[in-house]
Amino acid sequence: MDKRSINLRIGIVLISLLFSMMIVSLFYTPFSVTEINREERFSPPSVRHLLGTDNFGRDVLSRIMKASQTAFFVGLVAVSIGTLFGVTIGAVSGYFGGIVDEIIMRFIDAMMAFPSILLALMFVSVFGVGLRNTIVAIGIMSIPSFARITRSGFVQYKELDYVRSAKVRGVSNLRIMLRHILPNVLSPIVVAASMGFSNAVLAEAALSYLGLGIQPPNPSWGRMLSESQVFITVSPWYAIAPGIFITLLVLGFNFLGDGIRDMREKRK
Amino acid sequence: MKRGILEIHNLKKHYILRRTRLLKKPGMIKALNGVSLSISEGESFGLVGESGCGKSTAAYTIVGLLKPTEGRILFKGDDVTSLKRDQKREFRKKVQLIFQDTSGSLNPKGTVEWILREPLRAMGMQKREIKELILESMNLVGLDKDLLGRFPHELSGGQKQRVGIMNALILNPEVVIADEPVSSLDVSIQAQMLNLMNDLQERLSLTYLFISHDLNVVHYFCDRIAVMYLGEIVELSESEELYRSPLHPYTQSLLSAIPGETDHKLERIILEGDAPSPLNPPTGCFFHPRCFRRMAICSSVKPQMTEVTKDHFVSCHLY
Amino acid sequence: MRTEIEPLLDIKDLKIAFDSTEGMLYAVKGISLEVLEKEIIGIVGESGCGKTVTALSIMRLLPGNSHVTGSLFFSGTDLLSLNEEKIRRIRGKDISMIFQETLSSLNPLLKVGWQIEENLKMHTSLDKEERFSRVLEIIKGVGLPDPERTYGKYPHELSGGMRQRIAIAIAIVCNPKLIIADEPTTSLDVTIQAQILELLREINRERNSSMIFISHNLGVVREICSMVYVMYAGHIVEKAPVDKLFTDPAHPYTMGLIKAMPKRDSKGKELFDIRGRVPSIADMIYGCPFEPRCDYAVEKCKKEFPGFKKMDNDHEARCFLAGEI
Repeated sequence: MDKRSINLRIGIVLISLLFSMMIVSLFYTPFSVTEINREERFSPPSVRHLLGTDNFGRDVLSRIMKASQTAFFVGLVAVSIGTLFGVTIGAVSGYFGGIVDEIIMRFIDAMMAFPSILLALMFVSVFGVGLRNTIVAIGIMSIPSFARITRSGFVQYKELDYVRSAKVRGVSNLRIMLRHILPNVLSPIVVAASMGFSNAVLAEAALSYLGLGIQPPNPSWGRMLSESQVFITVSPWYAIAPGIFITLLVLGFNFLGDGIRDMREKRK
Repeated sequence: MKRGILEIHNLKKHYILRRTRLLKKPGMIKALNGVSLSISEGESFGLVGESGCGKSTAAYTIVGLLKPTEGRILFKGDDVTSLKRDQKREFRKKVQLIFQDTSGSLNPKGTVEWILREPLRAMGMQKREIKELILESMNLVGLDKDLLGRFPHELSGGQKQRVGIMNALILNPEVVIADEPVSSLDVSIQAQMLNLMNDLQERLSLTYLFISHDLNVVHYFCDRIAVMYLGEIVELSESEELYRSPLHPYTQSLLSAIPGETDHKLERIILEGDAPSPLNPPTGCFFHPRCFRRMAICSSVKPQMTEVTKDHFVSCHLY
Repeated sequence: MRTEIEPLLDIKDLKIAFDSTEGMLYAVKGISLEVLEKEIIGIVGESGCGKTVTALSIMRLLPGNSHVTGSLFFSGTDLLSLNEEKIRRIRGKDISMIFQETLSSLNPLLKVGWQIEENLKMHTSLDKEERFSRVLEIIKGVGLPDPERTYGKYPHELSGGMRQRIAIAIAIVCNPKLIIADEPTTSLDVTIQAQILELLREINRERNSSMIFISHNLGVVREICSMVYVMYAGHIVEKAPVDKLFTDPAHPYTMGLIKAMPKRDSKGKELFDIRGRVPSIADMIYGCPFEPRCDYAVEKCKKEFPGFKKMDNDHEARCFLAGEI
């Protein structure tokens, strides 16, 4: 039996490949992302243009590579927002309980009652589109699940003897939450973060597809999908490529999340 | 009551449950229903009872983990029932708690050193002082300093228990409440622990409140014993006296239930039924439904605590 | 003398090993014991001595990475030679087991009555009504009130003592000849423990079931067993009728255990402390496993682990100095 689960391996491989591609794209893309080349419009995949060209003759591969930066960036920042706020809210709610817990949880429940995409949509329609708002919207939409997971962990752990022990020895509440309980709750949060990343990528793609997320000139897989829809009969590769990459990245993080969960199970 | 280093007066802890039905009055668990005792300096005072009797609740309330519903706690004459943060800090240095001996009392993510350091950090000690103190304590309980870098799951049961004791003593308290400190230990480790605790008591001039369900251990270790049932003390006396002439029927059945004693003075008394839940305690004397000596009055009137012989108190209508 | 009677369960030279990254580790290193009909024997020892593993091996409940050698004769059949199908027919019917933790040994999602009934379903050909009335009968038989109501309860709705009675009901409903009880009263209050022990005694008396009672609590073993086996580090170090064991223990380990228990007259004195620790399963042991902790050890003990020295009828100990201490 492998020490590392197969899920973990697949996840790490997929993510590493895409991440490397993203890093490379920071310094180099085969072609310019914006250069228009009328003669080469809609050319199918070739040695020169590995993924073909779009309706403006732009190299699809280069655009995919550049857009991966957005995907990773949005995913990272949005999940960070979600984790930071979600974990804090969940920790406070779970640890202190009482009326604070009740109020916070009602808010969280209300948020969870909406499909998260709808929440994000509501946010951008109120506050406007663009990179920054997209990130904030997606960040906010991921807060509830982090809050829930953290809260349940804290509720569980605060009754344990070693937490009581720390209290009795005079350790401050803040320190108990941060250094005594949180390390034990970290595991499910990390799994949730991984899943959260893939959700964020999907959400960004969805918003951008609808034209409500990332705006030109910033590249985005989601927007490429919507732009390429019209031309699907003429150059299918233009539409398929972004779809495949979105799938790969999402799968990558899902496998990673599952893999981490598997490792936790094994350790038990 | 004689003035003692730690006294509790009529301590009550009631939990009100959530309303299950809109028009019904919410249920109440009377975990502690008016417990009073006085522990003298340097003594080992035993608190004995079965699950649900409230002994752990008493321990947690005394150290401030739970807020009492009613009653007062006095330490050296000062009322410590509800303290502000600074005062609580000072109190924590004087009265400490050894937790039940499952390894749950040690944080699995922390090394032994980290676990011991935390309380000292919280008290504002300097790094160097902390290190010295920890080494001293390891010595005191007979643990090798190599164990400082280990995690709880890497320690044996006996070692974990010693770390637990150290954790309580590291703040140099005067009173130590030990909540079932030897309950799940093997016989030979249990003996080591009890010897260690005795030794430490002498060296550090400690006062113990020893909580356990094991009468043999409590009889061995303690000078005086209080027997608890469903949140109340039913009998209190000097430990040898309790063994020789238990007065309360519950105490008698507890003693007779100890397995393997061939010198049973009392015929094996097997109680009927289970312990009632603290949610719906019986009327009158809490013990009357299971009592083999109950009388008519027991189901309606609650008995008072009376001194039957010198320093031997019972709460029972028979006396 | 016990050896003159044909035993119900006859274990000879049982060895139990587990695969691990460090090779094969032996939890039980060659033990032999007998259980006679209607007898309650006790296996006593501290954690890590191999008593639970022994019990599980009788029921063939050990995990896949275990290796069991030796012979386990039950009513003339070697249990180790049976295939899974045949063993399943014996489990719960001829031999059954009671565990320490009822919260994990009872299915939390099923009504307790069903769990008892399941046993009947598997091993008998009674129809639904017959099964139901048997279950009610047995619930009453283990001392639980109001059988009809109790039938429909879930484990978490019952107290610890009541759950253990249900576990006992499941174990006895098919009238097994042998019941293995692994620390059945360890997590119960002492007054409830007394009740359960009384119940087990009653079952032994009235249903002719033999029992193997496993515990680390010497007092309990003294209370209910007639013959006791003391285990240490995977070996049996002493076997004796219960009274003899406590009045005249022959092995230093047994003596140490008895001295370490707080008793009436221990007050004020230091308790006997068996120095050192129990060897771990991975430790290589030469000679007597108890030697490093033994106050009476001599040079010979480091190199050789003696066989059983006979003290008396049915009383033997594995110690060179047995009887001389």
